[in-house]
Amino acid sequence: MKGRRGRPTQSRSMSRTFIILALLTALLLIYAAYAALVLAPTELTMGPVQRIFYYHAPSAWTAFLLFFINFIASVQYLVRPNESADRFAKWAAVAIGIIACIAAFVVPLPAGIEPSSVATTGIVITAAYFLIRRYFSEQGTDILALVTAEVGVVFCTIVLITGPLWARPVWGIWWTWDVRLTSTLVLWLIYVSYLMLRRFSTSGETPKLAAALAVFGALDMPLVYFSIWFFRTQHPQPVIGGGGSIDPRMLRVFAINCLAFTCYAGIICWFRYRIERMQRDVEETRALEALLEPRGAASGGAQ
Amino acid sequence: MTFLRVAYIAVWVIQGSYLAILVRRYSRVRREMDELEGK
Repeated sequence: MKGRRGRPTQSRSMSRTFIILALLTALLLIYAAYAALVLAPTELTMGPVQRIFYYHAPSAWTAFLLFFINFIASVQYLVRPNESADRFAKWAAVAIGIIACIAAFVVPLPAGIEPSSVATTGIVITAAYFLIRRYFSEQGTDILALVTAEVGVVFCTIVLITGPLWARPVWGIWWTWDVRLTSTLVLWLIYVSYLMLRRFSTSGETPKLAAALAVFGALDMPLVYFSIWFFRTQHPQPVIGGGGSIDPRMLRVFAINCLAFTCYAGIICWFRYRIERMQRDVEETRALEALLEPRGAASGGAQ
Repeated sequence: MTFLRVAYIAVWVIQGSYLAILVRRYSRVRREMDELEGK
């Protein structure tokens, strides 16, 4: 184990960087909770229950970010073995960035969607594609997809629990089958099925099947996000970047919580990624031992 | 106020449970690695 590719020593010991970042994230989370419960002003109409917003919306943002990374990693896992598909995907990623930047300022957008947001999204898609391609091997993209789906489901679960807890005192109902809520539930179900596929399928093609499912599952993300613009929903319009307005102090607390949740998700993903790598190392070593054992036993028996 | 309290507690119960699962999984994999190194 020790000498194999020189990796176990590195992956076994919890690096100092990880511990420092984890501690900083814990401090940030404590401060973010304090800001949400104490520093943020109380909303006049809803009262204290509005403070659920500081956990609900950042959790949704984090889940989206993780599912987005899962999508990019899944695409790469599918295209990398095929050179022409890989080249096509690379150019498609560049084209998405360029088209988004041009279209944002040329095509008329629905009220509430800023051209700069569209352009930034396009650039982020291209940048994320090339960053993941640069830093993750084919096996690495598979692990990254699994990890981000798992952590994303945890954050999406929080969205689905805190949402009804906020809706009950404000709307008078726990749940309604409108497009935003239903599509979020569908998104959660898609990624839960993705995790179940990975957990229970014994086929050697499981990572490929899961990657294909993730690519189709990601199609639900734009529906969740844009549903409040294109359909009449019970869910309110966004107050940030949309037509609404928000108190600057509330905005600051929201930004702190978004940052804290993103850092926390990053740390958790890092930890989970490391566990998965170690697990695969163990399985690989066991498989190698199983291959060598009969020969050793046979030579032992001959003596 | 009750809904707010329940929401914040639910968030940290979910996160804490997941973190506990990860820590347990990590110690199991470490133990397996130690066993393999011991062979």
